[in-house]
Amino acid sequence: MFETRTDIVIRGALNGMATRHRAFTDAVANAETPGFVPKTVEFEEQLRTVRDAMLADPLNASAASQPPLPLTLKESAQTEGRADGNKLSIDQQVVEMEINKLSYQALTQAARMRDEILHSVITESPR
Amino acid sequence: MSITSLRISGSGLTAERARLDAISRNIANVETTRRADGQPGPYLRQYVPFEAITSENGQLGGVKLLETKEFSKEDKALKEVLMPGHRDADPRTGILKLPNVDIIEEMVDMIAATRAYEANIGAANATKSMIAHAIELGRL
Repeated sequence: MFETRTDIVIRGALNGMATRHRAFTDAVANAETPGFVPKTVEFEEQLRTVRDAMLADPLNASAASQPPLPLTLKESAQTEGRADGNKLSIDQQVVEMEINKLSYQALTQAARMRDEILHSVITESPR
Repeated sequence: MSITSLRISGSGLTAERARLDAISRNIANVETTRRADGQPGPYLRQYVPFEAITSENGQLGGVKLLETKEFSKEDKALKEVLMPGHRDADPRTGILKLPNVDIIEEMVDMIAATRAYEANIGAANATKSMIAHAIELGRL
């Protein structure tokens, strides 16, 4: 009922970051697996497309009309790799995981603040 | 935010612990000259191979432990010392074959396994923190 375009974008971004985090944890778990190639999750471009589509057709911007965000899972080309074929750079992976975590936390904070504003509007409005 | 990421980190922790177990066995048996069945013969260095888990739909699933393997005498040469009085030495030549375990190599492996274990703990903590923030979204 109260879902706006911003809510849809926030939800898409949170889902994208959660999937990205899963890729990071998978990479860390496979830090010593021979031949392992880490994966990256890309969702920003898809999210931008969804947002632009909603802006172009505001009347059709309800949550029900939005399909799940298509996520691209592709192999990361971050290092030359080790002798056993593992191409993971654990340091880089941990740093990127921390960045993703902070971004996720910032976004949940922003979403919470939006909810609080909406809550205030509903509960504090003059009767 | 799902708990699948926690399970993935759990698989990494299990794998690294199994690797540390194999390293500990290797170090403990660095001078062992009899096999588990009591027959003369040096202990052979063990290792635990890992394999990445990926489901058919491309979902990431962590790491899987394969069966523990041994480095054969051909893969990694045995050490030989002259000890004619030893009960497991060759009665004709007096040469005793010792395990193909290199203690320095094991220590380096142990450090790498410990670091990888810690990295998995860090990943699990990051997941917990993100889940806690996601739960906070529902509270007003």
